[in-house]
Amino acid sequence: MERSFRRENASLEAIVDFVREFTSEECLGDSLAFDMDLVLEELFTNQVKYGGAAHGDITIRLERAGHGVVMTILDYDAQPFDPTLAPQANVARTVEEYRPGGLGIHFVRQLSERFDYEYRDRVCTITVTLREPQ
Amino acid sequence: VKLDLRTPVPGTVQVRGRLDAEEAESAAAFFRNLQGPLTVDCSELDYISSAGISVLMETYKRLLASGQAMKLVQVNARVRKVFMYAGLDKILGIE
Repeated sequence: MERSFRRENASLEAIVDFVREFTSEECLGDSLAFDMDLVLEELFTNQVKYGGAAHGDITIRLERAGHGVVMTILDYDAQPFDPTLAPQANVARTVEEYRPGGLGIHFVRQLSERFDYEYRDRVCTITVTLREPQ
Repeated sequence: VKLDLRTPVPGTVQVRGRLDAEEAESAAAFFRNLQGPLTVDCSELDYISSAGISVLMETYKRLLASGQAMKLVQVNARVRKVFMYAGLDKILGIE
Protein backbone atom coordinates (compact mmCIF):
# COMPACT_ATOMS: atom_id res chain seq x y z
CA MET A 1 0.00 0.00 0.00
CA GLU A 2 1.47 3.35 -1.01
CA ARG A 3 0.32 6.95 -0.60
CA SER A 4 1.78 10.43 -0.92
CA PHE A 5 1.40 13.22 1.60
CA ARG A 6 1.95 16.95 1.51
CA ARG A 7 5.25 18.04 3.05
CA GLU A 8 3.81 19.54 6.23
CA ASN A 9 3.11 18.46 9.81
CA ALA A 10 -0.60 18.84 9.11
CA SER A 11 -0.31 15.59 7.08
CA LEU A 12 0.08 13.55 10.27
CA GLU A 13 -3.65 12.96 10.70
CA ALA A 14 -3.89 11.55 7.16
CA ILE A 15 -0.83 9.37 7.81
CA VAL A 16 -2.51 7.91 10.93
CA ASP A 17 -5.62 7.15 8.84
CA PHE A 18 -3.40 5.48 6.24
CA VAL A 19 -1.72 3.32 8.89
CA ARG A 20 -5.12 2.26 10.33
CA GLU A 21 -6.34 1.36 6.83
CA PHE A 22 -3.27 -0.82 6.36
CA THR A 23 -3.29 -2.51 9.79
CA SER A 24 -7.02 -3.22 9.47
CA GLU A 25 -6.56 -4.79 6.05
CA GLU A 26 -3.60 -6.86 7.28
CA CYS A 27 -5.21 -7.77 10.65
CA LEU A 28 -2.31 -6.24 12.58
CA GLY A 29 -2.72 -5.16 16.21
CA ASP A 30 -3.10 -1.77 17.87
CA SER A 31 0.32 -1.98 19.50
CA LEU A 32 2.05 -2.28 16.15
CA ALA A 33 -0.13 0.55 14.78
CA PHE A 34 1.02 2.75 17.69
CA ASP A 35 4.68 1.98 16.96
CA MET A 36 4.14 2.63 13.23
CA ASP A 37 2.56 6.01 14.03
CA LEU A 38 5.50 6.97 16.22
CA VAL A 39 8.22 5.92 13.76
CA LEU A 40 6.45 7.49 10.77
CA GLU A 41 5.80 10.75 12.61
CA GLU A 42 9.41 11.10 13.71
CA LEU A 43 10.82 10.34 10.25
CA PHE A 44 8.21 12.30 8.29
CA THR A 45 8.58 15.44 10.42
CA ASN A 46 12.37 15.14 10.09
CA GLN A 47 11.99 15.22 6.30
CA VAL A 48 9.71 18.25 6.59
CA LYS A 49 12.29 19.97 8.80
CA TYR A 50 15.51 18.95 7.05
CA GLY A 51 14.37 18.31 3.48
CA GLY A 52 16.01 21.50 2.29
CA ALA A 53 14.32 23.28 -0.58
CA ALA A 54 12.26 20.26 -1.60
CA HIS A 55 8.59 21.06 -2.17
CA GLY A 56 7.10 17.83 -3.47
CA ASP A 57 4.98 15.35 -1.60
CA ILE A 58 6.56 12.60 0.51
CA THR A 59 5.55 9.04 -0.28
CA ILE A 60 5.02 6.33 2.33
CA ARG A 61 4.91 2.66 1.38
CA LEU A 62 3.70 -0.01 3.80
CA GLU A 63 4.29 -3.72 3.24
CA ARG A 64 3.48 -6.74 5.37
CA ALA A 65 6.52 -8.84 6.30
CA GLY A 66 5.67 -11.89 8.37
CA HIS A 67 4.62 -10.73 11.84
CA GLY A 68 5.71 -7.21 11.13
CA VAL A 69 5.84 -4.47 8.57
CA VAL A 70 8.35 -2.77 6.30
CA MET A 71 7.80 0.98 6.03
CA THR A 72 9.52 2.98 3.29
CA ILE A 73 9.63 6.75 3.11
CA LEU A 74 10.48 8.12 -0.33
CA ASP A 75 11.42 11.77 -0.62
CA TYR A 76 12.01 12.93 -4.20
CA ASP A 77 14.27 15.83 -5.10
CA ALA A 78 15.43 16.09 -1.48
CA GLN A 79 18.73 17.20 0.00
CA PRO A 80 20.79 14.38 1.52
CA PHE A 81 19.91 13.88 5.16
CA ASP A 82 20.78 10.55 6.74
CA PRO A 83 18.84 10.05 10.00
CA THR A 84 20.65 6.78 10.69
CA LEU A 85 23.79 8.85 11.38
CA ALA A 86 22.14 11.06 14.00
CA PRO A 87 24.08 11.09 17.30
CA GLN A 88 22.91 8.75 20.01
CA ALA A 89 20.51 10.46 22.40
CA ASN A 90 21.59 10.77 26.02
CA VAL A 91 18.58 9.38 27.87
CA ALA A 92 20.44 8.96 31.16
CA ARG A 93 20.51 12.74 31.67
CA THR A 94 19.16 14.75 34.55
CA VAL A 95 16.30 17.25 34.25
CA GLU A 96 18.83 20.08 34.13
CA GLU A 97 20.66 18.39 31.24
CA TYR A 98 17.48 17.77 29.25
CA ARG A 99 17.31 19.64 25.94
CA PRO A 100 14.60 19.27 23.28
CA GLY A 101 15.60 17.33 20.16
CA GLY A 102 17.24 14.03 19.35
CA LEU A 103 14.56 11.84 20.87
CA GLY A 104 12.71 11.09 17.63
CA ILE A 105 15.49 9.09 15.99
CA HIS A 106 16.17 7.43 19.35
CA PHE A 107 12.58 6.12 19.30
CA VAL A 108 13.04 4.84 15.75
CA ARG A 109 16.19 2.99 16.82
CA GLN A 110 14.48 1.54 19.88
CA LEU A 111 11.49 0.26 17.96
CA SER A 112 12.99 -0.90 14.68
CA GLU A 113 14.50 -4.21 13.71
CA ARG A 114 16.15 -2.53 10.71
CA PHE A 115 16.67 1.16 9.95
CA ASP A 116 18.31 1.95 6.60
CA TYR A 117 18.93 5.03 4.47
CA GLU A 118 19.83 5.40 0.82
CA TYR A 119 20.32 8.52 -1.29
CA ARG A 120 20.51 8.14 -5.04
CA ASP A 121 19.63 10.45 -7.95
CA ARG A 122 18.21 13.00 -5.48
CA VAL A 123 15.83 10.42 -4.05
CA CYS A 124 16.03 9.83 -0.31
CA THR A 125 14.80 6.37 0.73
CA ILE A 126 14.39 5.48 4.39
CA THR A 127 13.38 1.91 5.21
CA VAL A 128 12.33 0.71 8.65
CA THR A 129 11.28 -2.80 9.65
CA LEU A 130 9.09 -3.22 12.72
CA ARG A 131 7.96 -6.42 14.43
CA GLU A 132 4.62 -6.80 16.14
CA PRO A 133 5.20 -6.28 19.90
CA GLN A 134 4.90 -9.48 21.95
CA VAL B 1 -10.13 13.15 18.74
CA LYS B 2 -7.01 15.02 17.67
CA LEU B 3 -6.22 16.76 20.97
CA ASP B 4 -8.40 18.22 23.67
CA LEU B 5 -6.93 20.06 26.68
CA ARG B 6 -9.06 21.08 29.65
CA THR B 7 -8.57 22.34 33.19
CA PRO B 8 -11.62 20.91 35.01
CA VAL B 9 -10.28 22.26 38.32
CA PRO B 10 -7.34 24.57 38.99
CA GLY B 11 -4.11 22.62 39.11
CA THR B 12 -5.33 19.73 36.94
CA VAL B 13 -5.08 19.34 33.16
CA GLN B 14 -6.96 16.64 31.29
CA VAL B 15 -5.22 15.63 28.09
CA ARG B 16 -7.36 13.75 25.60
CA GLY B 17 -6.32 12.42 22.19
CA ARG B 18 -2.99 12.66 20.41
CA LEU B 19 -0.14 14.95 21.44
CA ASP B 20 1.91 14.98 18.24
CA ALA B 21 3.96 17.41 16.15
CA GLU B 22 0.84 18.82 14.53
CA GLU B 23 -0.68 19.72 17.91
CA ALA B 24 2.50 20.59 19.80
CA GLU B 25 2.48 24.33 19.14
CA SER B 26 -1.06 24.95 20.36
CA ALA B 27 -0.51 22.59 23.30
CA ALA B 28 2.65 24.49 24.28
CA ALA B 29 0.71 27.78 24.23
CA PHE B 30 -1.95 26.20 26.48
CA PHE B 31 0.57 24.85 29.00
CA ARG B 32 2.51 28.16 29.15
CA ASN B 33 -0.50 29.78 30.80
CA LEU B 34 -0.59 27.25 33.64
CA GLN B 35 0.98 27.52 37.05
CA GLY B 36 1.86 24.74 39.46
CA PRO B 37 1.58 22.57 41.28
CA LEU B 38 0.15 20.78 38.28
CA THR B 39 -1.34 17.31 37.81
CA VAL B 40 -1.60 16.13 34.21
CA ASP B 41 -4.36 13.53 33.85
CA CYS B 42 -3.30 11.30 30.95
CA SER B 43 -6.11 8.73 31.26
CA GLU B 44 -7.37 9.68 27.78
CA LEU B 45 -4.01 10.47 26.20
CA ASP B 46 -3.84 7.92 23.38
CA TYR B 47 -0.52 8.84 21.80
CA ILE B 48 2.57 10.99 22.31
CA SER B 49 5.66 11.62 20.18
CA SER B 50 8.93 13.45 20.80
CA ALA B 51 7.16 16.73 19.95
CA GLY B 52 4.58 16.10 22.67
CA ILE B 53 7.25 15.15 25.17
CA SER B 54 9.03 18.45 24.47
CA VAL B 55 5.84 20.33 25.41
CA LEU B 56 5.53 18.50 28.73
CA MET B 57 9.23 18.82 29.53
CA GLU B 58 9.20 22.55 28.77
CA THR B 59 6.33 22.91 31.26
CA TYR B 60 8.00 20.67 33.82
CA LYS B 61 11.25 22.66 33.71
CA ARG B 62 9.47 26.02 33.83
CA LEU B 63 7.50 25.01 36.92
CA LEU B 64 10.52 23.39 38.54
CA ALA B 65 12.48 26.62 38.11
CA SER B 66 9.88 28.42 40.25
CA GLY B 67 9.79 25.63 42.82
CA GLN B 68 6.51 24.12 41.65
CA ALA B 69 5.81 20.46 40.96
CA MET B 70 4.22 18.73 37.98
CA LYS B 71 3.20 15.09 37.83
CA LEU B 72 1.61 12.83 35.23
CA VAL B 73 -1.09 10.40 36.37
CA GLN B 74 -3.02 7.52 34.75
CA VAL B 75 -0.61 7.12 31.84
CA ASN B 76 -1.53 4.13 29.67
CA ALA B 77 1.02 1.42 28.89
CA ARG B 78 1.81 2.51 25.32
CA VAL B 79 2.35 6.15 26.23
CA ARG B 80 4.35 5.10 29.28
CA LYS B 81 6.61 3.06 26.98
CA VAL B 82 7.45 6.23 25.02
CA PHE B 83 8.42 8.06 28.23
CA MET B 84 10.46 5.05 29.28
CA TYR B 85 12.36 5.01 25.96
CA ALA B 86 13.03 8.73 26.50
CA GLY B 87 14.41 8.03 29.98
CA LEU B 88 11.83 10.43 31.43
CA ASP B 89 9.35 8.14 33.18
CA LYS B 90 11.03 8.49 36.56
CA ILE B 91 11.96 12.17 36.15
CA LEU B 92 8.36 13.12 35.42
CA GLY B 93 7.05 11.14 38.38
CA ILE B 94 4.66 9.12 36.25
CA GLU B 95 2.16 7.29 38.45
